[in-house]
Amino acid sequence: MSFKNTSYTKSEIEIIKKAAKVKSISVAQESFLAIVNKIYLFDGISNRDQIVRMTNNVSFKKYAKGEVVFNEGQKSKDIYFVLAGEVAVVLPQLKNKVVAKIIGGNMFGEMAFITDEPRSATVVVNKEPTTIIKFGIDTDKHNDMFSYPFSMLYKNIALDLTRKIQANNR
Amino acid sequence: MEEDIHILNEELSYQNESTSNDLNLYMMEILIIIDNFLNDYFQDEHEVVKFNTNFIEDNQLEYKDDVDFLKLMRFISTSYNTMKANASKPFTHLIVKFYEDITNLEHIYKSFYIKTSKIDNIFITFVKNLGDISGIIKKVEISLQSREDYEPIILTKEDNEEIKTFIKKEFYSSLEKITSKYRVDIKKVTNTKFYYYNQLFWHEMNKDISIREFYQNNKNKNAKSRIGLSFFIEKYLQGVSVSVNKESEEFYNYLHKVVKVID
Repeated sequence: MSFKNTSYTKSEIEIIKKAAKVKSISVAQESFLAIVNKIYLFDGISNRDQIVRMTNNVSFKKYAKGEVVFNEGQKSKDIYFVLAGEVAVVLPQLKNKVVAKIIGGNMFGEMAFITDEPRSATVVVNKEPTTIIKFGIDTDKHNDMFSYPFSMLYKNIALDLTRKIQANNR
Repeated sequence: MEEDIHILNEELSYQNESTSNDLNLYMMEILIIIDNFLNDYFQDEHEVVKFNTNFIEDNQLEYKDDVDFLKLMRFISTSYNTMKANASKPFTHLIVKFYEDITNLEHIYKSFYIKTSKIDNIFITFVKNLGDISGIIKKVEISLQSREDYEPIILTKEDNEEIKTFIKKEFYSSLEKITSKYRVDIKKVTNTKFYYYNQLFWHEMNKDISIREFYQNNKNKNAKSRIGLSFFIEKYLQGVSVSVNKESEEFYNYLHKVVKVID
């Protein structure tokens, strides 16, 4: 066996590291990764590279009070995470009755991700300022190379929905 | 004088019947001999893993083993040569060096695979190096004689048989452990380096105007891939007919999965 030690200079290592960073992460994704440990949807997925590949269309938005995040009946599978502030879940067919309030550190919109059905309620910003992260999950990447992170993701969604049902029953 | 001691030892060895404790000493010594042999036998692999682990950890790179780049070598080589022929300027020294580095690592992995494919040959080498099973027993005795608490024993025919079985069993078991370890370790460091090479290579290629033109002229209308390795995998998958054997079917299935996540 011919074993050749290839050494690299410090500046070459920096170029290599920079290229790896630039290639895979957009600015929004980088900010997203910085706070991803707060989003319990990704609990148990420690590989940041996998999170980058699983998520798409990441965006951060600051909302004013009364602004609509999405309307009932809207078709979208994006998931939302309230970074700070508060939103209200309202049912227009019940004269905009508020059925739930979601504060910072919690997510919403995951039901449509699972069911692939239109939004079942309208979400309105309840406090100013409210910062929300919106992101999609790239289910195309759900194959056995990504089976572990996806199993964790579905488990976390199941846990979240269970907690919401429990809270509703109380 | 030495002869007298030798005779005395021989007498003693006839006087002492072997006990299970004495045999345990033999067995322990045999394990050390096996261990030493295997460590020597895989010295090169040890060096490769050590050098590259230090490289990754000292430079604070992350281990990347989601993608088995070793399976994708043909695409890496094809893309390297195709891009080299189409790039507007020569590759940087770093890209050429990095490519040679990963090619060398792939070669090392292949050599290791061949080296460990016939495990019976490794056992034969082990036994031959030490002069057959009786040579191994002699080596054990020499080694044990240096111990203060050692009392020579005479081995019965049954003991010899037991030792022979033990040597074979333990050798194969230790060999399996060490080959599995190196297979995992070499793959891990190699795939990590491949990952960083792949990132650097396509980062540079994306900046090259001629490569962009090449991609525009050659990409399939329905291709989802960007300028990257997935472009070559997609091209390949579009061109191949459905496989006939299980091995190539597994390979195609792997390519279909990896093409979605690699870039």
